[in-house]
Amino acid sequence: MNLVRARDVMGLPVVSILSGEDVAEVRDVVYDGEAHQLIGFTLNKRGRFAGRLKAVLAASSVSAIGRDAVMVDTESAIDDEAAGDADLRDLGAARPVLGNRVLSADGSELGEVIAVILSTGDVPCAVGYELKTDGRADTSFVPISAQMALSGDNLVLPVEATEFIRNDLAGFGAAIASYRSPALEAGQ
Amino acid sequence: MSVELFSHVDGRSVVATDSAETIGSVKGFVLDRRGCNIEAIHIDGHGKRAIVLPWSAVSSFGADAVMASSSDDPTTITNDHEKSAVKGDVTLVGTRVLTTGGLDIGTVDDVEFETDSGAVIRVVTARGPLEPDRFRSLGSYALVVDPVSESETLTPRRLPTKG
Repeated sequence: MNLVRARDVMGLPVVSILSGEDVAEVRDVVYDGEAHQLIGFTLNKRGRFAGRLKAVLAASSVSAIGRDAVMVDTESAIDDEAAGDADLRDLGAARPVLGNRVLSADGSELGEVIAVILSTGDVPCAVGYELKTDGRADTSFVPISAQMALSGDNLVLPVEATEFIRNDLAGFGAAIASYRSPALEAGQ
Repeated sequence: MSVELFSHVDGRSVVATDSAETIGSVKGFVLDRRGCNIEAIHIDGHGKRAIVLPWSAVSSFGADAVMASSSDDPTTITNDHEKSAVKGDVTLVGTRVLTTGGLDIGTVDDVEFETDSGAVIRVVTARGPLEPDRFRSLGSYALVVDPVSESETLTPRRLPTKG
């Protein structure tokens, strides 16, 4: 499983596989913290003084997220219609994830959320959070699970998820591959 | 079958077979939307007044001169596709190569093509040659290609630790 921090996607060009044109640029990642789901991306126009595009890109319309570009099949993936989609438009009320204190269900503090981790597969989705723990130089990663609870202040992790915490993203990719399949299917 | 490089044919004179007049020189190429075939040769002029010779009017792409069937064959550009090519917005040489997985795998340094058919045989990049059966599209931003090896398919697992 290939993983990327959500903020590293910001600023990437959105390129059509059909035309080879850069049709937009990722402005921001739209993420529903409550459902732990990647909704899509808001966009900027390409070019030096270009502003915001009204159209948005839904996660389901993405063909691939790579290191250098977000790929879509055709320009029509960028959808003016979807701009009216409540999910993508109205996230003002969504609970923030970044900055939440992470607690395990048994009451131990694991750290603070500093990044959302996305998988870059066919339909990109959120798979985990990156945590910073006081007094430690490195960061750790926890898998997203359906049993997580989020208040906007605290993110509470089921105890069984804590055994999948990894300190490097490569190990985390492998760990969630084994964690997600049973846990998420049961939860959805 | 004879093969040439874009860099070798640049500036080669274009001569009309019927009048024996030099009608231009090779300035660039208009390629199809996948980047697999030459559609026309840019032989004179700039911008809206650029003159192109359709590949179908090339009677022989010779080692010393490109022979056009008739001095009437060259035309001014007629559409946006040709315009973007003669302006240099959509060209193979110098264009970044992007896989369908969103990975930049280099820049096109040169193009090998077949002088009878105008078919691109391969493009040369710093990382090695790429064959047109992998090409998906040629646009102003990139030549989009299918990935072949794992290193081209995957984003690196080890992320930079910036920010």
